[in-house]
Amino acid sequence: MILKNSNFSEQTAWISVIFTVFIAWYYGTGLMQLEGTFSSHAEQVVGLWVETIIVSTIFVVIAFIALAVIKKITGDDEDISLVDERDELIEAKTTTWAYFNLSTCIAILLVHVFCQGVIINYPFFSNVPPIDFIIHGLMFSGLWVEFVARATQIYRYRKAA
Amino acid sequence: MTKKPKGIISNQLRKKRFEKDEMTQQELAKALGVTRQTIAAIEAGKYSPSLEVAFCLTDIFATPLDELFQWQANDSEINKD
Repeated sequence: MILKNSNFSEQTAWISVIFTVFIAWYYGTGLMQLEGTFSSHAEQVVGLWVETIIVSTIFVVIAFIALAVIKKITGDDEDISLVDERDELIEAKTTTWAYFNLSTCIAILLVHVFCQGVIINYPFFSNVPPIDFIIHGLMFSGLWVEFVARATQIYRYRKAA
Repeated sequence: MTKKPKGIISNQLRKKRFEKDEMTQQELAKALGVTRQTIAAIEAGKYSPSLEVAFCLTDIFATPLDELFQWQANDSEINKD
């Protein structure tokens, strides 16, 4: 039903939302299994990145093949390269909201690292070195921003504009 | 600072489509170069098209713009100004 009443941009937004949740779960699970920090066990962190990139690629390939098959079965012959004024308007609103979220995330990361270095007995993530916090924080920020952007896009499509 | 008056834009798109040989949303979308979902959103009054699309619609249906789209101003907003 959702597929029938949605264009290609909205369908890809749904894939992106599911993708970000899955990758956040995968990366988070991998993060829990890491031993040591980036400075002492860099190869483990790099290994997790490589694994995440491979899993991401497999996920995207499977998702788009599944979408293509479903579109074929349902007889949806919509031109997927067509982007009209409504798509552009929704994309612009989405990008504004995503930019705001990205700025906020980066500000939070930097403020945290600053506070960790300045405040004695700083209570948040005190056992995580700043470089690790920045690396993994940027990864989760990217996923969060993508999630927010695509969820906003879906909301706008459902609301109509 | 005065607020711009707000109102509701209604349209006769669905009616005009049926009057034109029961044209489908898909056919109209193809003629305009937009998606079918955009036509559905315009008909439902949930999306206001650009002037360019609005004038293209007048060409397709060979009808004046004010017959296709109607503007009903919100009286309370006008009275505020």
